[in-house]
Amino acid sequence: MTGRVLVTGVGAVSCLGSGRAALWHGLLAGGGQPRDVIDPHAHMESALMYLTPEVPAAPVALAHVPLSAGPRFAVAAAREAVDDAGLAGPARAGLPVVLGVEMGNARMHEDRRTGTHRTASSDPDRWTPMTVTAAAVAAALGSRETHTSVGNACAASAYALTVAADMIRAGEADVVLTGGAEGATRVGMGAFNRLGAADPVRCRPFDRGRRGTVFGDGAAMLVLESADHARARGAHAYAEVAGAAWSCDARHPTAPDPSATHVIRAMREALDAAGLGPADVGAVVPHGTGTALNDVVESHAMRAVFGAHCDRLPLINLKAMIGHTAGVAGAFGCATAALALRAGVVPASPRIDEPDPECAVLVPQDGTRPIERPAVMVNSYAFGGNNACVVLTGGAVDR
Amino acid sequence: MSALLVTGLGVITPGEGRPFDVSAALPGRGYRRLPPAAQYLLAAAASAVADGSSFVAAPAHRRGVVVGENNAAAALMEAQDRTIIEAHAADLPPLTTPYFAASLFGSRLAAEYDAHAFSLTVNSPRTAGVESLGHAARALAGGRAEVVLIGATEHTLPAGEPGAADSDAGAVVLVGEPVGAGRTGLGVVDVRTGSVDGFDRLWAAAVPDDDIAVVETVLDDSPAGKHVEHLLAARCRDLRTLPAPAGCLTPLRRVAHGLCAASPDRLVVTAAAEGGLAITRITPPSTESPC
Repeated sequence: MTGRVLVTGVGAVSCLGSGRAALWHGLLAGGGQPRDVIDPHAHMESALMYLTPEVPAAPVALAHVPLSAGPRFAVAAAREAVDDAGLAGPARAGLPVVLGVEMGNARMHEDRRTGTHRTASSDPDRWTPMTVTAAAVAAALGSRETHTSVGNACAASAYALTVAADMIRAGEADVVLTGGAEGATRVGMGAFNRLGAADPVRCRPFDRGRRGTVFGDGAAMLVLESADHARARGAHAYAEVAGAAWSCDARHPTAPDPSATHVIRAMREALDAAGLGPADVGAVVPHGTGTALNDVVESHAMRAVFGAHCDRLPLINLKAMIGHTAGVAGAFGCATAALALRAGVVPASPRIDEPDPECAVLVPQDGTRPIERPAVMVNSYAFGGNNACVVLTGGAVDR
Repeated sequence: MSALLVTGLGVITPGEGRPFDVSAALPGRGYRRLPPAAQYLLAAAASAVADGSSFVAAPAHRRGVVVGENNAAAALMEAQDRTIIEAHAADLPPLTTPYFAASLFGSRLAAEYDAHAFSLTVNSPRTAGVESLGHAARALAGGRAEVVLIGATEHTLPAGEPGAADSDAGAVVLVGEPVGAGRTGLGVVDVRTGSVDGFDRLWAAAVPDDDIAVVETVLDDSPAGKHVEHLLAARCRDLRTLPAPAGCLTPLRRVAHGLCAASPDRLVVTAAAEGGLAITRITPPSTESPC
């Protein structure tokens, strides 16, 4: 597989508002704050989330399936991304959609159980699958191409983005819409509470006092495009997807491998695929969830890969600002990396009360910093030891 | 990029003849309390790997896994939600709690066979099982693995859920390798995915000479399913229609059946009410059944 893959469109819906501009300016302003999910049936210690200000009113259904917040976020962000890329009419009809979705339309099922759903199925005896988000986006855009849903839990959209880039490099498509979307779910929050991984204060990656993660909802979408195709139509690019790699711990259902062997391998293989060395990287969007073990293992892995360069390598502490967006986290990481590369700066992290000495990484809290080298690594991990690493580069990407 | 060679095959169909016996299918510790869809997947994989010994011969970091599922965790999530609604999240059983993340089914399979290259989960409605073949083929072509376990697993929908009366249960696992090097294995599968609205383009790619002996469909009676059946009726000499249960297993099960069918090339076509479409071409190695 050969050929360069560019990011030519970005869309986002997050707790910072609707649109990529709201995301970027919100990150520069220090990010959002979590609040309680209003759900009288959510019996759990902490129901905190970084919630979007509002749920789009449409689309209300796909075929017979009522759509909850997740697919609606997806459609809004997808429309922004394809508009940003300048794709219209026939270009949208020929656009494959590859999304990472963990919980998808699960909220619709949860609302049905409590009798709080607003829209009933138009065919109540017909199966209503949970992961219809990619299909909803394809229908909304008028795509007549494939729409695939990748379900790699909290790394889903990083895997989806890699699949999309591989499709372009393999010559299967010139342009692919990728990303992810998630809404608030009772089961997701409840499970993390049961596992002792829900912080009741806020999401505090790399803070010694962290007590777990705090979820966020929303959607992030990226238009990926072959460099030849983008050049031919005069499209402007944010960044290049220079390399991506996967690995699997194949070890424990929830805990990362403390040795970080396979996390390190994914990071090194992604750098190799990008043709870069560790010293060429200017920033990292870490997986950084705020769970006790993840942040330590990931810090050790970054230290192993980057060595002394770690001391000068700023992290974009994204989950501290928009929460852990589960299946969308990788896409939010890549969208943020693309926006940072275009702006040439790294947003500062919210306050860390007490940096964890076990996490020997640089998390700037004192204002934005310039990206000294135009390459950003994005890490994305998930239950089951599913690891993905994507390297985006900036600079003269339109050449 | 869409074709791969199948060198191993395992199928688990619980309730067919006799109940699924996890102790017999998976002797040893640590299996009995797994969710049923994980048990089915591991049992099917045991047969597939026994068939296709190339999987365990590959280095661990070159072994991949791709699993399709739609309802593997549905009953579990329903039970979890009922516990949260009626009691408290603290009452969730810890062993099965992580399986609300349905990618754990594939990850459990990866752990069983030290597959460190990757574990990819696909959950597109109805098409995810056969889609997993295409994702595996692309990953093999791109050098992300040397050999891949490819499967689908489902568990019956909870009672009262739409589609529960007729939902998929069981698992299929295949061992997939790159096509070539003169090997024939159990045959070659080549999957194309698209949308119902783009049927003509997908058909032309799957059947370039517009001539195929046998076409099996796994379709429901939704407008999308009826539309695809209508389009196929005008193109096929031997069209065999099967109802589509809720889930993504039956289409891959028919692909497995096609590999054992000792016939010329055949197609398995499936479509989702939500618009997804997949056409899988199966080319057995010879006129004699390999199974």
